[in-house]
Amino acid sequence: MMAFWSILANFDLTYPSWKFFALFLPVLAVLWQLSPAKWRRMLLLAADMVFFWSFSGILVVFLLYSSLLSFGIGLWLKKVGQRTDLKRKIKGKLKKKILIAGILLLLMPLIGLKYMDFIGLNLVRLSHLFHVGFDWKILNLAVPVGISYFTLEGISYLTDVYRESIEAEDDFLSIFLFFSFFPKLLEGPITRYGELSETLNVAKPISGENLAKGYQRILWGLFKKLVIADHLAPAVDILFQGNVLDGSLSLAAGVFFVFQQYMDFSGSIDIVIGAAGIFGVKLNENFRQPFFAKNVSDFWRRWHITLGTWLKDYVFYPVSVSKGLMKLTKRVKQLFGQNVSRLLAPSAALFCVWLCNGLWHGPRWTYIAYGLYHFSWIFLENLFGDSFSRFYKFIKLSESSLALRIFRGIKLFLIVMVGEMIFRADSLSFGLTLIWQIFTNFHWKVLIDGLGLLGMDVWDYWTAAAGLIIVLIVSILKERGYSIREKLMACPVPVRFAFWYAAIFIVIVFGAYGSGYDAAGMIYAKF
Amino acid sequence: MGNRLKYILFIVGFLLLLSAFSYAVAPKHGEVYNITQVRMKMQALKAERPFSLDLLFSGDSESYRAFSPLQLWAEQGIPSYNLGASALRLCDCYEILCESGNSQSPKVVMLETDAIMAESGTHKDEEDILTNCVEDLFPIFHYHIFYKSYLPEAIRKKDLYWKDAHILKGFLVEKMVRPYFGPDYMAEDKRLSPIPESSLFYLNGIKDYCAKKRISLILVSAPSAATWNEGKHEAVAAWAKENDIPYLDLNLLTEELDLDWNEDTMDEGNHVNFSGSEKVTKYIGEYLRNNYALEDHRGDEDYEDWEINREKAGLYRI
Repeated sequence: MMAFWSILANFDLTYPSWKFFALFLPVLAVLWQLSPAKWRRMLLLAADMVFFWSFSGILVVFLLYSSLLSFGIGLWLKKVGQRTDLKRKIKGKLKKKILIAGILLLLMPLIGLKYMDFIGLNLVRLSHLFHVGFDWKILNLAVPVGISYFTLEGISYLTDVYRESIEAEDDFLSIFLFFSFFPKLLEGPITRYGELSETLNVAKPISGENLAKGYQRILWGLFKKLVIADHLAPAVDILFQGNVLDGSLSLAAGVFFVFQQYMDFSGSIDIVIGAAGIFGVKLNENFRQPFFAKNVSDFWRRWHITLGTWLKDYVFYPVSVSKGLMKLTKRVKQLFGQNVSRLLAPSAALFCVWLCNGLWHGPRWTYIAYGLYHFSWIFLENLFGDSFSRFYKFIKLSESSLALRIFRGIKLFLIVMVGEMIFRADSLSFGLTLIWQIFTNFHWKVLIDGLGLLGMDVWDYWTAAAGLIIVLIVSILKERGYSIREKLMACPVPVRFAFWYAAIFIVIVFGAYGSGYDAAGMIYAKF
Repeated sequence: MGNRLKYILFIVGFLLLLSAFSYAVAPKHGEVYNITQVRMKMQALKAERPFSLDLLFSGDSESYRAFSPLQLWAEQGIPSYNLGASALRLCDCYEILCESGNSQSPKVVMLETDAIMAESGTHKDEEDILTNCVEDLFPIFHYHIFYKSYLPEAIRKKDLYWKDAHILKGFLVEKMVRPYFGPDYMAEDKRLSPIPESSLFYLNGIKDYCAKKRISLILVSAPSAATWNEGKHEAVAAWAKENDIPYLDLNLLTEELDLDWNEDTMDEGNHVNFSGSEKVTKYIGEYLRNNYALEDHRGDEDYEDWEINREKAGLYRI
């Protein structure tokens, strides 16, 4: 009996844990194959509940709340839309009110559980400023995993029903499956009901091809996460501990964290997409070689794609066409002319997008600053982008030349790195101090001496570096449209077997897990 | 070939490879805590001429900071090797000692006792039953970092331990002085410090191994003001008495050793420094000469390289 409870207590289902991909997924796959087709969705829901429960236990009620609310409001919107006794304008207004009420109700748990302390504490600071007596007792409420993801999914579902781009679902099981689908619960990608329901509700038997492709993708994700990100994790933790560092170590902190963050998040997404793919469910890609982007705007079309597109569809467009902004644009046009007014609407909407982006990551000023930092770059690009293009033309430098691409790559990396340093630092002032140190107090010797003190041995550095080179090569090939997997499929069986055996053993041997390593968490699971 | 057959073949092949890898990397005499250090120590020992050593020191960092084989050679002509390393647990010492039997046949083993009093668990989370089952079945998952013991020559040349491993025979020189100003740590202390169960298992294993190989086992506590105390002494002394094993606690002999905690420690009493090791090794050499029939190999043609190493090190005169 004790052993049973011990097994349960240690049933870690985070994506890089072997219990997730080598126990939970295979057991589910076998049960899936053995189940009659009509029971498969119930089986999937049971798996979702086990998965959710292993992280957040009884907080599953919030998942149920969001699902029930979206289901109910969706049906209400549909019903109002079908009414023939109301004029179109009144119907529109009523639907809008229902939508706003639905969105506010969906946001309530997220704000209440995740942001209340932040709001309260900042109100206290503000009250001190105005010498008003206000006190806030820290609540430290438990937050269910994935709440930031499934809340956005609920908003997108209601908005899409409101816009009539999808029809409201009248089967609650389908809605609940959409919200609770376990592979995407922890780190996304953020999905839309219209897209996911196409494959989620089909519940076809697992095909050999899906099984193989799914596990191949999982292996690639494990490689990124265990071989690269988790080797860098101890150094990043030490560098961001809060001590003011020499500029060279601050630069190392930034570079290491960019790589760790990218490999951790994109690796986890690979595992997620692979796991969903086994059951025939297609999830959207979240990354597309982001560091090959031309500029910051392009970077955000390639990095955390599903959050970017969500913000574009559900924040940028509604704000851009809002009545208030239209009026303001008109007024600005009268006062400052068309050039200024043309920039106002998209910039104001962009500002809202990036404020939301920062806030979505969590209740911290560093995240808000991170969002606004990226807003500033994109705003500047919108302002001066054409001038740069004209300048390159003037000096006869082709936009596709290698020199320009390298220059752009380095520039983009540095811009992203500075943003990530703000993002990772415990406070805004510490983040800015680290960045300041790079420019004012830089000594290579300190870096060379310090690398040995960052919790990584020489093998850890080599492993992470070799892993990054492999990812770079694969990224270049993908960017050029070359699919390694397809080429491999054309090879004889022994060659394929040898390749996959080698890949598996590289992860087993060089992964940062188990004895000698502290398990590193998944960065984006906390958002 | 049908798809189903292909998948079955792939999985069977994978399991076979897992088993083969596991066999190759798993310790041969039980479980270990620090596979990298164990393998590094075993690699270092392989550089020694087979069956040339009469004495082996075993233990954790207390051992390789205190007992200098080269000094023992210079003063007594006893060829020895220090198998101690930083943070080794008793399970690691046991594995290294058993493996050393493939290339050496020492007459005496001196086991430093600091490792005895430390936990000797093997880095596994006892609560995580499922993971432990998998790791027991396929030890590659537990010992997958075995490769870290292989370092390129360029790194070894700069590494504190490796650069002089063959010359100093596993001993580490540190001349820095950071005095110990604390109280008399061996003063009467009634605190019970039992030997941890996990260590007791391997301690008995070492005792049995030595008995089987007809090796004289001696327990020795290197001077350590920061880690040793009366309670630990009592526990080790009781075990030694019960098993009829000689036990030498140098913490009780600091006056005989002429050990000065203002001068002879590198880290405020945790380990002795070079000057402390000179006093400790001198005492150990005399103790061995008086109590064990260990041959003086100085002048022996087969041991010429020891003289060369002694001169290279430039630390000890005859």
